[in-house]
Amino acid sequence: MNSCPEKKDLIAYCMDMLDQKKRKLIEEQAAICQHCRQVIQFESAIDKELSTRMDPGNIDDIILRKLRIYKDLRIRSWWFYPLYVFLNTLAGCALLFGIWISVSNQLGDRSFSFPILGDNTGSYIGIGISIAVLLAIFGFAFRRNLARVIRVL
Amino acid sequence: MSNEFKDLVKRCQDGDENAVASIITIHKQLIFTIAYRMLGDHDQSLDLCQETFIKAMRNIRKLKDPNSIKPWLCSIARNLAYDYLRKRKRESSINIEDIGEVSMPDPGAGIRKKMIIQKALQRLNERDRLLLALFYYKDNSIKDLTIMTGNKESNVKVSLSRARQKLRNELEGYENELMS
Repeated sequence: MNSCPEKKDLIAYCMDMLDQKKRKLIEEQAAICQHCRQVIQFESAIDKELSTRMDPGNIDDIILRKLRIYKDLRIRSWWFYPLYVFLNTLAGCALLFGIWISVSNQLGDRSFSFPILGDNTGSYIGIGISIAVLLAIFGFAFRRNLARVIRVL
Repeated sequence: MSNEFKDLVKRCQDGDENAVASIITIHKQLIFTIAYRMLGDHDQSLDLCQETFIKAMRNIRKLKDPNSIKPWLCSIARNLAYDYLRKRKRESSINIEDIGEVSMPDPGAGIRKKMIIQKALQRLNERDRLLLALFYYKDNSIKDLTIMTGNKESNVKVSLSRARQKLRNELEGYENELMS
């Protein structure tokens, strides 16, 4: 190579994007030409600055915290909402059923009495069912907390 | 390394928080570097970096190939950066020329060099900035760039070369400062 290579070739040389033959030619030219050496030096200085990695610092915790909040708020599976509505309705019905039986027993109405089991058995069964349904629904609602408590125990 | 990534991504998809933390730790420098090269603003780059990981982790189950986590994260960061830049253009309240100088009135030589490079980068278009940021982050090969940008290898090489020459032209006259 008798004359200085083009600037774009020198840039490509610094970027390591030339084939072996062209690389060698540029190295030979740079060995005898101070101008080429200076250009390469300048391009290398630019490359060095561009290669600097930037550190955002400790952002991991912030991201994880935000993701945790999202996880708690995220939309559940398609069946979750209908089930949620159904169980709430069931809980309301169970509660009303229990109150109704208690009140009607207090007023002397024996509609829920079972002849074989005795006068108050029907109301006890009714209230028992209401409480069982309510407990099951609370258990479902707070299942994560319960699981955590069980794990700790 | 690829098996390690596969495992990490799978664990992320299963909701393992430690795996999520590992993915963030491994890739945060890359994403922040891209963000900073694209936006030229430290605070906005931090926001973008966080948003990238949050968006990625929310949609991690959609990632079919666990080995492509890096290009996938880069493309999310790129799209978010474009959104930021569009928003910035609409608001046009930030003067790119002033970035970094307000908070650092008397910077040292090292910081001054970084500022010169960053200012020159801001004068390039978004695509060129992205290409240079990706290329000079040394872990990325040309092949990675083709995946990240969606272009052919030859096109990437030509675009990259042109972008670098444009940057060189923008840095005309700064020889002494950058070589000191």
